[in-house]
Amino acid sequence: MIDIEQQLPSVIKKLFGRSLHIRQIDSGSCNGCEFEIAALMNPVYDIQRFGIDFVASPRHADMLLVTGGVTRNLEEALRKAYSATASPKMMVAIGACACGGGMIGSTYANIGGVDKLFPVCIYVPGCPPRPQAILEGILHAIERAHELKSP
Amino acid sequence: MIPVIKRLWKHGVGTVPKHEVQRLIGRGKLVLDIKRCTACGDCVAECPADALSLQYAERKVLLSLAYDSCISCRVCIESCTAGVFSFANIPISSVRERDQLTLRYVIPSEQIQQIGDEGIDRHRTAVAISD
Repeated sequence: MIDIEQQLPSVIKKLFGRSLHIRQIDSGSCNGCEFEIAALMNPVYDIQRFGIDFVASPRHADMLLVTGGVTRNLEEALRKAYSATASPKMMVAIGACACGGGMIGSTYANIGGVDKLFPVCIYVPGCPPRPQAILEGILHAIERAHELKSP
Repeated sequence: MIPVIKRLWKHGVGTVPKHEVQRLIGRGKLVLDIKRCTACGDCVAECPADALSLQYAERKVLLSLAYDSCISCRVCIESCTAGVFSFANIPISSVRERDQLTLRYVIPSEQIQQIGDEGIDRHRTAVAISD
């Protein structure tokens, strides 16, 4: 945790100027992962001291956090949000469901993992993952940003 | 999955003493002590998320654990009589490729207590053993 705290500000400053904006997308989650993401904003973890902020529109975002396996009803919403995000589109799959279907798997109403639709930058497993694990996943995704192609 | 939920409901996890719960749950990821495993297949049949799977090859059994399916429900700890599974305090680290989330172990034939005519694979269908 201390290593992540030391690395994050310098990496964000180098790649994104001062701040990293994140849009969190619920693609059919049970809200367990959302609680852990919301816990990142509380005084214990306080993600905003690194310059990371959650925004309300994918057009403002540099990174997408996707939680939950993709359900058939929310597939179109996820496609729209992905196409509205600015390049490079960093996609982080949070939780077991977004990584590979998880408990629900691939059914008629559930497509499965997010990687069946879009390329995923970093997988964060866990049901739900702890806030430290999510923070570590964000750091690893930023480190991988230069590998992604921008059109 | 419904029998598993029924059994957990009957157990009443909330009535377990606090120190016992902390020992059972742990804070990190599920780890395996593969030297104790006898490849009986109880955990594979009980796992509600299909995270565990057994594959039978010649003279050995392959046990794989997929962290992209594991929901940390502790059913494998309760079902295993050999005490293979436990929760460590190491967190599950984020990975770049999905294949890295699956751990594969090889159980040699000396550890296997009895090999029947058929086994169970990930999808709970019977597979014939080639050995």
